This record gives sequence, C-alpha cells and structure tokens, in this order.
Amino acid sequence: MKTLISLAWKSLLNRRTTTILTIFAIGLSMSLLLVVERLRRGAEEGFTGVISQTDLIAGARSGPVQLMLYSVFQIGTAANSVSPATWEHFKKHPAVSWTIPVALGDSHRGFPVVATNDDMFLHYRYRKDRGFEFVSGGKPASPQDVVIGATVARELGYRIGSEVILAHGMARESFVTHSDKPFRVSGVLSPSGTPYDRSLFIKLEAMASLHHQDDHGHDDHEHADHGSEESTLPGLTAFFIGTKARTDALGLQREIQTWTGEPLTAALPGLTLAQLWAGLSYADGVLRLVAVLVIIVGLLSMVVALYNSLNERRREMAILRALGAHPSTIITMLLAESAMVTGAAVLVSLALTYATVLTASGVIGDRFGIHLPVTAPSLAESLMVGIMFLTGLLMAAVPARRAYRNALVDGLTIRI
Amino acid sequence: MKHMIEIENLRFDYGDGTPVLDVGSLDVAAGERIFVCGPSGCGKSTLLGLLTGILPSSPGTVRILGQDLALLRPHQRDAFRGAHMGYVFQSFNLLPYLSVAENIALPAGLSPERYERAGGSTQAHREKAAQLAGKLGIGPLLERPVTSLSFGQQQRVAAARALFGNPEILVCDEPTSALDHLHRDRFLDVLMEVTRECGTTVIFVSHDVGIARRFDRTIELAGINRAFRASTGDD
Repeated sequence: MKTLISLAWKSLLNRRTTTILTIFAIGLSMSLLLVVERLRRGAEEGFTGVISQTDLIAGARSGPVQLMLYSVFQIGTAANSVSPATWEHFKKHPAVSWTIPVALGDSHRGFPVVATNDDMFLHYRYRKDRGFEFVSGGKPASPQDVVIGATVARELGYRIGSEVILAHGMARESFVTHSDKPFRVSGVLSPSGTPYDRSLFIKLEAMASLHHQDDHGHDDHEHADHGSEESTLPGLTAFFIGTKARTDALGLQREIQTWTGEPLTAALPGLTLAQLWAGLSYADGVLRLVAVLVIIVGLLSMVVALYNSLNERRREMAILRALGAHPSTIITMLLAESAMVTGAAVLVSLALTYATVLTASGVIGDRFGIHLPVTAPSLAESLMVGIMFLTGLLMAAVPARRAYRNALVDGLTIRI
Repeated sequence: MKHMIEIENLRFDYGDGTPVLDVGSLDVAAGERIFVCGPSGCGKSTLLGLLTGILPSSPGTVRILGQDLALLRPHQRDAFRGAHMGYVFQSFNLLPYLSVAENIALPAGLSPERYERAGGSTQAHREKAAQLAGKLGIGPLLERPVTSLSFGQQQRVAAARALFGNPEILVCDEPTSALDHLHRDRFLDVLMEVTRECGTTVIFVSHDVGIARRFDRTIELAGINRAFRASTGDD
C-alpha cells in the first residue's frame, strides 16, 4: 500500500503541469461553490438580520409581510397611518420597554426619508446587536437636521452641512418639494448593510411641521397628517416595539391586533423575515445549482486528465503487472492518485475561499451590504467539501475501471 | 534433478477454439538456462503468458516450483509471479518517474517475499540494488533519472530489477532485439554471469539464433508446438 501511494505520488509529480492545472480547475470550482454559499448565507443573515431585538412592529391594519416591507424595507407605501395617540398608548404599556416611531412618505432624490426620534439611534439593532454608528456628526438635534445613510452620502456626495431639500412622495423628480424648508446634514451613518443605508433621517416634529404648513397644498395621503389634532407629531407609518420580557411579545401582539382605538396589525419581525426570505430563496437555489454544475465540470476535467493519461500509462501498468500487481492494485493506485488530486483541490478551494473573503469582504459589505465574516468552515461547508471529495473519487472510478480492463487485456504486452 | 518448470499436455486457445499452443511436455531444471526461439506466431507470447500466470492455463498443466498454476486464483497467480519471477521486456521496462535505484528495488514494494529476500529493510534494499547495479555495470547510474539512460543501460536496469530479491526464474522477452551486437553481447555477458552466480533459471525468448550457443539448451518452439505445426501444415 505504501508503495502504491508513493508510486501514485511520483507519477503525479512526473505529470506536474497537468496535475497542477487539474487541481486548480477543481479547486476553483469548489471554491466558487463555497464563496456562493458564503454570499448566500451573508445575504440571508443580512436580510433576516435587518432588524433584531425588536419584538414587534405595529402599524395600520394590513398583512405582516406588507407591514415589514414598507416599514423596514421601505418598499411600497402604507395605506393608512397610526395616530400618535395610539403610539403614546402603547409606549406607556407596562410590557413595553422602548419604541421607535417611524413616519415615511417623503423622499430626497429617490431616497426615502424616515421621520423618527432619538430612540431610533438608541434602540434600533441589526444583525443581532449592532446599532447605528456615525461616521461623522450625530443625531438630529434641531428640526432642520437630517442624518443620512452611507449609500446616500456616497451617491450624492453629501457631508456635514450639505443642504437637503425633501420632496413629497417617492418620485425621483417630484413636483411637490418642500423647498421652502431646506434641511442640513447633521450626521452621516456608517454602512450597516440594511435598507437604512439608503435613508435620510429627520425628526418627527420636522415632518409634522413640513406637512402642517403645506398640508392643504396636496391631498394625497401617503402619510396621513394628524397635524390638525396633534400639532407636534405626524401620523406614523409604524412603530417598533421592544418588550421588557420576550415572552410578553405574543400577548402584546394579540392586544395590538384587537385594539379598538383603530385597526392595527402587529408583526413578529423574525418570523415574518424568515417567511419573506423563504419566498425569495429560489434565487439562491439557482445560484447554488450553477455552482454545482461548475464543480461537475471541474471534476470532469480530472476524469478527462486521468483518461488521457491512461493510454500513455498502459506500459506502466504492464510493468507493474509483471512485478506481481493484480489489476485491482492498479485501480487502487489510480484511486489514490485521484484522492491526492481532489484532496489538494479541497485545500486549494479553502485557500481561495478565504483569500476571496479576506480581500473582498470590505468591498462587498460597502457595495452590496452583504456581511462576509472570516469564520472557520461551518458544518454545512465541511459537509459540502466532504461530498465534493467523495464525488471526485466516485468519478475517478470510471477511468480506474477502464484501466482495470486494460490491465487484464494487456497482461504483459507493452502498448504505447 | 529438481524441476523448476514442468509443462504437460498444455493447450491454449484465445476462446475461438483454434489452438495456438499445444505442447506435450516441457521440463526445465532448476538453474538451467533455456533459449526459446521460433518464428513469429509460433506461440512464444502465449507460452510466456502461461508460464507467468497472466493467462489462465487450460487445459493441461503448468507447474512452477511444484505449484500447479491452475490451482491458484488470479490474484494468487499475480503474487506468485511477483515472488518467484523476474521479467524483462523488449523495451520500455522502466517507470519514468522513478530513479534507477528506485526502479531496481521496485519488486520489494510489490512482493513481500522479494522484500524479505532482498534484505527486509530499506537500507538493505539500497545496498542490494547498488550491488546488483555494480555487477551489471550500471553502478554509477543509480541516482540518475531513467530518461537520461541509453537503451542498453535501460535494459541492464531492467535486468537488475528482474533479479532483485533473487527470484527463482528470470523471464526475458527479446530483451536484446533492439541492441546492436556489441551492446547485445555485453548485456548477455553480465546477465549470464549474474544468473550463474545466483543459480537463476532463465527463460530467454529471442529470434536471434546467433546467441543460442550461450545457453544450456535451445528449445525451438515451432518444433514442439503441435498447434503451430498443424496450422502451417509442417508435420
């Protein structure tokens, strides 16, 4: 056995150019799958981690998915708003530890504006326990202050002190602008990989006063204004709730859903995000399928390389046969060779994967908001690598079988 | 005298019912050096295949060292060949990715018997290989890659490998047919000397009758192969 392995090794070394190329072909394809898997996991974690530590999201009556989509992802608009009084009520609820009010509807050059209060910067958490961090400046202090997300800052080139004019509605070129009330950038957030990278934050009072004055200029109620009743606060799109004890969340959810003051919906963010992701996951299925196909092509290149070497190695087989090797010994040798090649390919793939993650995680995080941590291979990854290794060996059995037949037929006849 | 090889009523066909080999009786004594000659198609390759256990012997008997090869399973016949026979091909005897010394010691890696008989340790094998190489006149080439050797040198390395670990029988299939007369004679000189020293039984197949006189006995296969005589009508 020792001899066979050393023969396999030396034979590979003898064909080192082909061997190295084959190893890299397989290693690259394996690492593609690993990187895709990491990106997929990063995307999933980013998506499902877009809001954490928030136990409930309450908004006007709709479905939980819709509520999540417009309140967190800022996709679509709410049909109705929640009155500030309702928010005040639940804010003081004994089970509630904190709340974050959000009022949406305005935009700036296509980027959504989130009207909120200081609690957003205090309590909002994403990806488990991360809160907003400021690259420069800080929370909005006066009603003229606006805090901008990382993408907004990068794409529009804004910095502290830049003047911002908000528009009503989400259209990029809105006819209705609040040009009489320019804002000034008071803070820039660092990238979070959440939709808030594309948001601008103003104080609730600022939105109220914007709309209080020009409320009569337009009557479409993307956000309902209750400015007439409550002069300092606008109607809310939603409010996020952190409970004092997690176990209170379900009871509180029921209480909100059955609240008689106005029709409300309360969504459990974790559950709803998981549902949303499951709906989107056909895309990563496709991605994975492509990666698997690439691996198969990579492994086929090994089979082809082995097949090509078989003919020129027929005399090698005859020599080994003359020395007392049974055809099965020759199979063992070829399989040992494939094991070495696939084994080396696995190492190459891990090295490439980590090199990619190390070099690209910064760019990918900034550009796509996907967090790629440098972590040890997960169980799933180890399993994938194991399966790829075994598949390699299995595929190598095909040329090995051919070699067995050759060895039987050729015997001691040297064929070149 | 002890019989090394005994053949009785050995008949062989490649499955088509036309016998290619039909030998009534052929005995080779231990230490005897036999020259086997004959024209192409007289059954030389078949005879070698049967002697070495590559081809299943049927019907009839091939007995080597008293062992009836037909009673062995295929992998046992392979192991038997590895343990008791050395084989030199006409050409391309060496594994290109091993050094001369590694090529010579290769039988020890594939046959436990040869491993033991060559000294039972890597150190002993190295000395044994050097010793054999010295006798065959290739001592200085031991660490060279085989691809840098001349054809004559390669054949000597092949002979050294075939004799490594003292197999009882050395089978040579036209090993000199690609050598010029000078190199052929030098090769035979050292081969004869080493096999005499070791008491190796030699089956040397060649169509070059000019070297027949150097052997103890010449067997004209065409003469004893009844199948060949029948096919050519030479009765």
